[in-house]
Amino acid sequence: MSESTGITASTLARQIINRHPQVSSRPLGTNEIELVVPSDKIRGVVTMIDENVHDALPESIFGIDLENDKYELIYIFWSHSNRMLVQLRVSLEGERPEIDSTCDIFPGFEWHERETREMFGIEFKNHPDPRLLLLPDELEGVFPLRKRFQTDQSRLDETGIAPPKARPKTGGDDE
Amino acid sequence: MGFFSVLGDIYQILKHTFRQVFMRPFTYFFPFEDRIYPERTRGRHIHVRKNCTACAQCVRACPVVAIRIDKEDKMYEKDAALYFDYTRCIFCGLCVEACRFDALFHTPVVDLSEGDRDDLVYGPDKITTLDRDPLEWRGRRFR
Amino acid sequence: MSPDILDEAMEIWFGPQHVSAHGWATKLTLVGDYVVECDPNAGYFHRSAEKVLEYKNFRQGSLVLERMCMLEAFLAEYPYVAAVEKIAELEVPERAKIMRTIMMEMSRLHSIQFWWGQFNAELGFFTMALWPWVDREYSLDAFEELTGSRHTVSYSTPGGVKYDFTDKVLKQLDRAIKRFEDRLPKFRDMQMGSPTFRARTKGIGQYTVKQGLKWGLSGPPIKACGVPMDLRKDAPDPNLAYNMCDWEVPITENPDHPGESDALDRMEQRFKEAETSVQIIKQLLPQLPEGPIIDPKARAKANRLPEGEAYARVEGTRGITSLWLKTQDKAQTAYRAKIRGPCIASYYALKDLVPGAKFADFIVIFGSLDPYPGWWDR
Repeated sequence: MSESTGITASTLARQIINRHPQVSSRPLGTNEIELVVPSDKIRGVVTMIDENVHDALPESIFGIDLENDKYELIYIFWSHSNRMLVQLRVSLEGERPEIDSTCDIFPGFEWHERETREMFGIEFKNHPDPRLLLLPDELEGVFPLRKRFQTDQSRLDETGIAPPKARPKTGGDDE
Repeated sequence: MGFFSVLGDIYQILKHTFRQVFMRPFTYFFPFEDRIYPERTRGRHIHVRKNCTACAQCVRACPVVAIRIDKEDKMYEKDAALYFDYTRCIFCGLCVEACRFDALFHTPVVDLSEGDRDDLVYGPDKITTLDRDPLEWRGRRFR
Repeated sequence: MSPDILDEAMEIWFGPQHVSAHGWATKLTLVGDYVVECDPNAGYFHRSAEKVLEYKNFRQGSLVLERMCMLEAFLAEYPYVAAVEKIAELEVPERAKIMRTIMMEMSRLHSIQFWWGQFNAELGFFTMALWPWVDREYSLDAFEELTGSRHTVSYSTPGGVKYDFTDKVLKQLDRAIKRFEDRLPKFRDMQMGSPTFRARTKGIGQYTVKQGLKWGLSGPPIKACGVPMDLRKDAPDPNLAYNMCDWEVPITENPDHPGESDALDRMEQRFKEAETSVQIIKQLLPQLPEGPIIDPKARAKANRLPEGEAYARVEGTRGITSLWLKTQDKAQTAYRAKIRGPCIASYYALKDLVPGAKFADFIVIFGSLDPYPGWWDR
């Protein structure tokens, strides 16, 4: 607990950008910072966070579907001793995008990666346990949190009023 | 230590026992007797058709699509019939909050169980009144 | 491990039909009486809340959140409300801030009382299970008097709260707190002084702070190691009233193993958490100002939100509870909402924490981390 003194979000960002110049940063609030990380540098950046912030808490990883085969991954770290929030943003593209797994550095990310894989179809390379986490087996490969996965809205027709406008469909293999 | 502390323990136990014996039981003899529910209890709804303006705000506010509106069915000048599906309702209170004409309220009636699933869809005849047929079982009436 | 030992290994599914396993199942591999492998399984309680939130408008969304963990409903629904308030830039009246904070602390107290009973029930001390649950009824009475519902309260709403305190609610709150305070010292002696209980929990499920942080643990499991990690102090929310009262983050430091915690420490920690909650409530109740409980413009403003992203967090009973919300311009529903429950880490931690323990200790380790399946399955 006494191995390092405090580090601020901007100092950490500067250290990371010095090592990986492709990373760019954007402040979010007081001692909260967002780093935009290219997908091939994610392991380097997460390792640097692990080394420089001694009490980094891996809060979560989750995906965002930006439609048209574009995805974003958000990594969130919290450090209690520095009151610092670090958010990494990784842009991914493709039908089944791939990224390196970071769960050997932070074991707490293992299940978040499993969930992102089954919900968005983002492959985490070298993940030790790529089974489904929440979904039943018959929903493998359906990726329910992608925007093109349409849910059953038929109940809205029963209300007797005009249903709200449906979300525009953007192709894909929806059922 | 010794005799007096044991006596003290026995006194504690007896005090507790006597208090419990003469206390009113926590339980109720349910179908015949029910507890008094607080005023804000979000139980089944009551629909005051006289005030209703058929604006359908309750239908739009419902997160689980439990309300169906029939604008053709008019009893007064501009009201509408509401059908509440209590198999879906989660008693969140958003519909009552959305009603600006004092036409929809929660009631403290929470025992909604029915023998048939279809009976849980409360049509305009059931949702506008709190009266219901008394249930009889082995000669005793309850509700 | 030599292969012939594994030949004798036996696989046991703990749950989902076990009485303690309400919505989860863990595959344990046993050699003799010892667990050699633990494989926690998730998904038995999955209700696709994140997808549901993409279809619900901003007043309906908190209803989904409070159903994630009904034991801490006031706390669970708050991150969504806070995220909407951040994006819509809503002002919350002073009275609503204090009322929210009081009810969130009541919710924490109630949740700890429930956990306390449940943990004892899991250990087989059923008398000690029912007594805290009697006290919990008094909190529930206050919730029912205030909101009209015992568990699914739907209390906070963007811009304020829905129901105002009445005299009867204040009386019920006082009664619940007084009941808890009266009976806590006796119960605490009974619980912590019980040699059976101490023998079953001492040294069980021990981990260091570093391990806990790597798994992502937060809240009482980390505070029990002596680290005052608490969002109520670390990142005070402007829409809550934690800075209006004087309190310390409760921590438990055991001189036998500094920087580590076992099941006994975590029990001790939760007593302190409950005491802190009571302390906060007692300070906030007299400070309650007169005034409106909701911003009158909030209803219209929360109808359609501007484009934005917000990350709202709250210190739940079990740890950091947060919601990440992304909206598009003039949106009626969320574009993406990510719920981060604290228990996903504590359930995952079983994988590394349980192997090596006795089979009978598995439920002690599980119970002392207080995981609730709604938080990892969502």
